[in-house]
Amino acid sequence: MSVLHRFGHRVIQSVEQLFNRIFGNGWNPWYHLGSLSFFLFWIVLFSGLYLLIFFETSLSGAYPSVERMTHEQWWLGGIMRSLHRYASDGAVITVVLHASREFFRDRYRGVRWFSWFTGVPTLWLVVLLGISGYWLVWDAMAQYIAVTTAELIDWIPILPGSMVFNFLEGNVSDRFFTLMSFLHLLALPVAMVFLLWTHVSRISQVDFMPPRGLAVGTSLALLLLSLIKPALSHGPANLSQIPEVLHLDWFYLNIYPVVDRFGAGTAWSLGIGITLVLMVLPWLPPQRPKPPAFVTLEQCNGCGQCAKDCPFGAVSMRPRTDGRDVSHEPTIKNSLCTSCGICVGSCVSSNPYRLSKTTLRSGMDMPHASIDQLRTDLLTRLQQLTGPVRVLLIGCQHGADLESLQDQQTAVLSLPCSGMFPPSLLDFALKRGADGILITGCRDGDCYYRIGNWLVDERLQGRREPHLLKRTDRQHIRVYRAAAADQDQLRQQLLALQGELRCAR
Amino acid sequence: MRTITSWMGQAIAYTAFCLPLYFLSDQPSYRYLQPHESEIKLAFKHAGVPVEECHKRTADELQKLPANMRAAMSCSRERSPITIDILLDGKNITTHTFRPPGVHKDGSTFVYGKFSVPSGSHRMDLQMEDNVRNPGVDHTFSRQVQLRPGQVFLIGFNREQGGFIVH
Repeated sequence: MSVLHRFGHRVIQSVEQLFNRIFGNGWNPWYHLGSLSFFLFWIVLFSGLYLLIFFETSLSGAYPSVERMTHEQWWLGGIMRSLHRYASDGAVITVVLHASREFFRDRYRGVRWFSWFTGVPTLWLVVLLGISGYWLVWDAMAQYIAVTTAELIDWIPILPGSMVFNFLEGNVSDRFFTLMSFLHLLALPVAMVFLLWTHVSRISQVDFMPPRGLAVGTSLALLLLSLIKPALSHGPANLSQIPEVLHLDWFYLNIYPVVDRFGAGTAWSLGIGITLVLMVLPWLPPQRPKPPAFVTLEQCNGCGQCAKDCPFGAVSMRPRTDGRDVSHEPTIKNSLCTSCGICVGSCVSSNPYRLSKTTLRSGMDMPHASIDQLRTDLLTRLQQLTGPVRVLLIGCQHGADLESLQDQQTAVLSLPCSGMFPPSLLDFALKRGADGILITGCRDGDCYYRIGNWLVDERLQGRREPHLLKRTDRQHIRVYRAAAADQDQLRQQLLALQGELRCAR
Repeated sequence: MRTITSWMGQAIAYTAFCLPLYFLSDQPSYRYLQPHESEIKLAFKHAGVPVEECHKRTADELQKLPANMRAAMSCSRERSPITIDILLDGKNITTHTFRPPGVHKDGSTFVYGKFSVPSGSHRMDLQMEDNVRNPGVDHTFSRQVQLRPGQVFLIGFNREQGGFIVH
């Protein structure tokens, strides 16, 4: 990770830590920026559907109908209008934070380029939806937007430069207004849904809704804001008069003053330049690819758990090809595999007790961090412990620095993702000399590979295959997730576990 | 278990989220025109004069053409660009040349420009050239105009109606 990534990540982690104290990890909005953006989109969609009932899609009817909703029906129509505006504005904040967070967390390169790449045109759609929405009010600001947008489009050399003629006094007609209504009410939302679907198409277990507490809190905040400061229009559009002062929505209309001050060419250069930089960012520089997981069919019973657990949809099931008496086998799409190792932890054949001859072979394995190597490392490191109690600290490489906690009493296993170890490995470690186990990983709600923490919890609690064995002594297993910024807290947890184990002797 | 402090913290966090929405959704206001300014808008569609006169093809020229394209007269499709000077109270405020659209530059030119000027009474002069074969001003407009603050003073052009027109 570059210095920029590290610095930005550190700053964001500090803010997230504060929010964890306030909201708890489950409701922390920083961990749900994507689903929060979806949620705000749903608010925009449903408030927009309500507004559409009363909105007149004609040039002469639009402004009066919006005014009627705002003033005569302020108790619902007005609130819906304000919610429509503030949820749209809020979505700009959450989307920008979401993209920044993924950037600083270095989750936009390598296999994950696709989500980043498809997110960029989504930003254009968000802006176009905002602009076309303000256009439909057909007030003085809409008039300004219409004329300046036409000037922007007329600047494009291959076009005849005639669009602005639609917005001269006496020339304006319902024709163009109908087109804008069509764009805002149907074409752009449909395109948005399609792009959002594409944006998340390479990940599984997508959260389209934030946790209920966060959704309720956000809705209440927006509702309160709508009551305190209702969204209002400018005066009606009048093409023979220009408003001297405009109350622009800076979330969506910030490009227009640029057009006025520096010209359409500069505005286009700025917009296209930023877009291109964002689009090529995953390759500046490209992430060094890690070898993907692989299938060993003779060890695979075709249960399909790996396909269910893969956070990126890299594993799918297909009809068996080796003639064994099971219907399916997993297949890995290398271009989607992030090499997190979660599929190794999902595989029942990763059970360390299964060692035959000299090598533990699993149906799913990683070339650079095999389950056999993991088992060997575990045994070696446990044997090296000389302290009064022996603790296994097992976790991922994206949270706290585990290696620095290794000492005479602590054996460390640092994995690509904590979801990589099969639960049976914990039982195996306790049987082979560990007195206790501390499981760690990225902070709760902030797994680098999205669902590694959740899968570990599900497996330990017996809600998901492969389960932790019933006989395993759960009293000696602790879970404490920690980011790099939580190193001291993790150390404290480790010391506390060691102390408890000493007392128990 | 959430404490009073955590609920209060959440209230502060939601307020922090709403503050940019409260302010940036319509503030700071943007001044498009200074007080006591008006806007002159020039907007019309006009075809410049063809850059070359039609001429009768010579026998040699006709011979070089495919048989189905041997029209006696050769007329250039390309039209002259349109150059406009705007003078306010005798002072030139802009000179701009508009090129005809199309691959062959044979379309009617869309002339569009806008200029903010102080409101009040002004002498306005426009000079337009639309014929490269005959350099010099081809069309003029001169009038004393009274501009209200914020007014859009729209000027068009129609050859049939005698040249420049005020809407």
